Amino acid sequence: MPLPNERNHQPDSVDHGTHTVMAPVRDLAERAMTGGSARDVDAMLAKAEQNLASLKKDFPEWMAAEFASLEEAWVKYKSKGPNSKALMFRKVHDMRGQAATLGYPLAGRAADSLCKLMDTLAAVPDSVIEAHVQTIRVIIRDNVNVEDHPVGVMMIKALDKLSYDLIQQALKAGA
Amino acid sequence: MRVDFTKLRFLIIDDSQFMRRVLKALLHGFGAREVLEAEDGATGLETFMTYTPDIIIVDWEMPILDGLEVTRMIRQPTTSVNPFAPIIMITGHSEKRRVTMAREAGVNEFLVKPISSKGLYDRILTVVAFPRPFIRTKNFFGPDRRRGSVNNYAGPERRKGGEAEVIKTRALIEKTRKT
Repeated sequence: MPLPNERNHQPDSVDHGTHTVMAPVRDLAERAMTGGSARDVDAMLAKAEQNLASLKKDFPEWMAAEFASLEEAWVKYKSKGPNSKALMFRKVHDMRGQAATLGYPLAGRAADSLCKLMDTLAAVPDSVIEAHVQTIRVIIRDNVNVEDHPVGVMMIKALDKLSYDLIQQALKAGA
Repeated sequence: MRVDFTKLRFLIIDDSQFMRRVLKALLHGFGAREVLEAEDGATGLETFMTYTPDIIIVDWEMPILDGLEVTRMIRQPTTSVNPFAPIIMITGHSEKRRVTMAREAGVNEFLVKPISSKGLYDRILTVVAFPRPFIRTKNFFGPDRRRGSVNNYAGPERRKGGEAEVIKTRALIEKTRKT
């Protein structure tokens, strides 16, 4: 079946009966690939990193806003509001992905632990979610922005163990 | 060889304004001038249909339409303005199962957060310089999910099952020419 507005164009494809293979569309390569050395690429990457660094002063404020949003979702989740589970999962996923980018790797690890639990178990005990949320809160409040903070690492290890044990229990029970 | 970002139009679809700012900062650092953004999947799809960006960067978890749903809609060969548009999914999900789901939806490249300038540049370089063939079967339309050929593959053949339709392709550069 031709694409919209392309009915006069010849197909650039091979029909194998069960599937059709279309040649790679190379228009972007033709348009946007240009000469340059590894040094040019390094300069582009450095400029991008410089742009990112210029945002860093705002990261603590952004993380505080992200956490407020997560906490709001947690309150809704506890009150069993409509779509609250999906909302909570989305906020935990956001925290999991963004925390390290925004300079809070341990908050990202705590969110990762909770994300795995919510993704695996039919129901995660509220007390376990609370432990994760509180850990994230402390990390952001105390501006723990290094990966090897001793107390932070200890808290994350405790959460990891808690998650691991719960997932193993659920797998054994066939949940 | 390098990518000339001034020649490309990007669309970022992410419900987090902070991640959109981070991505925009990186793209502008690479030299991109045209960076569109949308805060949810539905707005992203509308922006895609209106402005036909060259490359779409999409988050997975979003309200209204999530990243997978957006991808599936872009990959509709009969209704999408450009079903071949490269899609890079940026997400906190790193599980293999999730990567497979993204590929099944038609995502070209997958980038797990935290984002680095090199990680993002490499994904963009891949979709621009090394585009993969597209495959259409009864149940799939999207970039070839096979990264290489395996001569001794003995598993189930996913491409069997149903008559294939021939899809006509046309380069974006030709589309932009006035007729």
